[in-house]
Amino acid sequence: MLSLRKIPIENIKAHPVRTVIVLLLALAQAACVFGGVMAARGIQRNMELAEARLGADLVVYPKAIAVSSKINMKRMLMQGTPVKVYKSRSLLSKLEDCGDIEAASRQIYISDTLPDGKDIWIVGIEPEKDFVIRPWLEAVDFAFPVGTVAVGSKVETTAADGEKVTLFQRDWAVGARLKETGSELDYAVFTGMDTLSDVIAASKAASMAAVRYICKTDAGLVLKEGE
Amino acid sequence: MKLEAKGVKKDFARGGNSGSVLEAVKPLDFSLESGELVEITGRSGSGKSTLLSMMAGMLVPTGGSICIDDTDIYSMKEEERSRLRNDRIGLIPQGHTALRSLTVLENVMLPFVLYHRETPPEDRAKELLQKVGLFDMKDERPNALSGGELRRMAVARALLMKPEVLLADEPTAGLDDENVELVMELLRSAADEGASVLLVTHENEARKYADRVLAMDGGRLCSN
Repeated sequence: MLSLRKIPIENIKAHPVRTVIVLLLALAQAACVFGGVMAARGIQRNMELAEARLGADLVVYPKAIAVSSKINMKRMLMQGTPVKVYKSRSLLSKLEDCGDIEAASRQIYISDTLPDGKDIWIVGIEPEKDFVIRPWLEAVDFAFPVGTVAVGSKVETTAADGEKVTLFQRDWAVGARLKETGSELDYAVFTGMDTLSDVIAASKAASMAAVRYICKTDAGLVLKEGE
Repeated sequence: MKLEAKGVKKDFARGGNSGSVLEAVKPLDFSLESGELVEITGRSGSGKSTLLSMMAGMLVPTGGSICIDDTDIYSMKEEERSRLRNDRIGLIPQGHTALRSLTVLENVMLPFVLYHRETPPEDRAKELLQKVGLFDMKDERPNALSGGELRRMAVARALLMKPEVLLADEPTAGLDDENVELVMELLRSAADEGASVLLVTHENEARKYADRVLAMDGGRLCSN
């Protein structure tokens, strides 16, 4: 029986070649639209990521340092060069109270010396507030669990029993890696503040061991001389 | 039922940036009564098909109104107007308008299925095909029909819903004398049964079936 629904079906059946061509064109068009949307979203996502990776707009540092020019401000801001100066933590809450500042996050830098004599920076961040380091993480949702660190793209790690990095004579599990930043952060290790406390404790322990070792050596010398 | 054009006109913008317009139909009054067959003749481009399209509710006039029983059809919503066309107006358009994917019989039943879910009136369609001499071809596809047969099929399709108004644009174009007679007799009998029939044609043979013959020239309508 003829019905309104039957008409398009009959039309499709009556023109199979045309139907296939139209279907292919429709699919191609849909693929173009879908591809375009995906490309646009990808570009948008990358733009947002690039914007996020620009990091902080302001870096707060002691005025005296700027006056004495002990550090290169441009390098600090653009190259991520760690600095050996600090401001008191109370400044952070003052910054957060400022209405014009959308977000503020602190970082603590310490360093260790590797067996080859090179320094490696260890950067403590606040994972829940950080907006400078996180956009560079390969896994942006990495939560910086205690005892686990993230490493820069060029940091050498050991692969035995899970990826690890050695700091202050202790192995630390590597939970995430940063994409290449082109800055000194590629050679740094990143931790949450809790882990940083453990790292600092490890540094103290390592220092004590070194002192004990020197003392023992001195005692040995004394004994030798006594002989 | 009365179909009436009141001061109706139609302008078309000419191409380019001149801003000039072509007055296809200049303001005119025209009425079509029940049981009347009116023929409009005229040269190509005289505006007769434009007038017919406006009377059919398919082309919005630039000015004036088209009324069916004092109701301006262009004051209706498009959906209402479409329903009115389907229920009350039969249209035989220029050219071949059959759906090639349907059989001749299905093409004739097409106006019914647009707004009805019931079983199409197959007997009525067959009866009309018999009248236009296409019964034996009812199961053929339109591409198996000649130009003249397609015109006759269009006539049968326009008559399916027993329209109160029948508008035919060159219904006998391309038909031989015998078929012209056949189609004109069908249109005449529709008028005799109470329909208002407006016929736009070049055929002189149609005159003997018309109650009135009008001529269009340069968008103006005048008695012939």
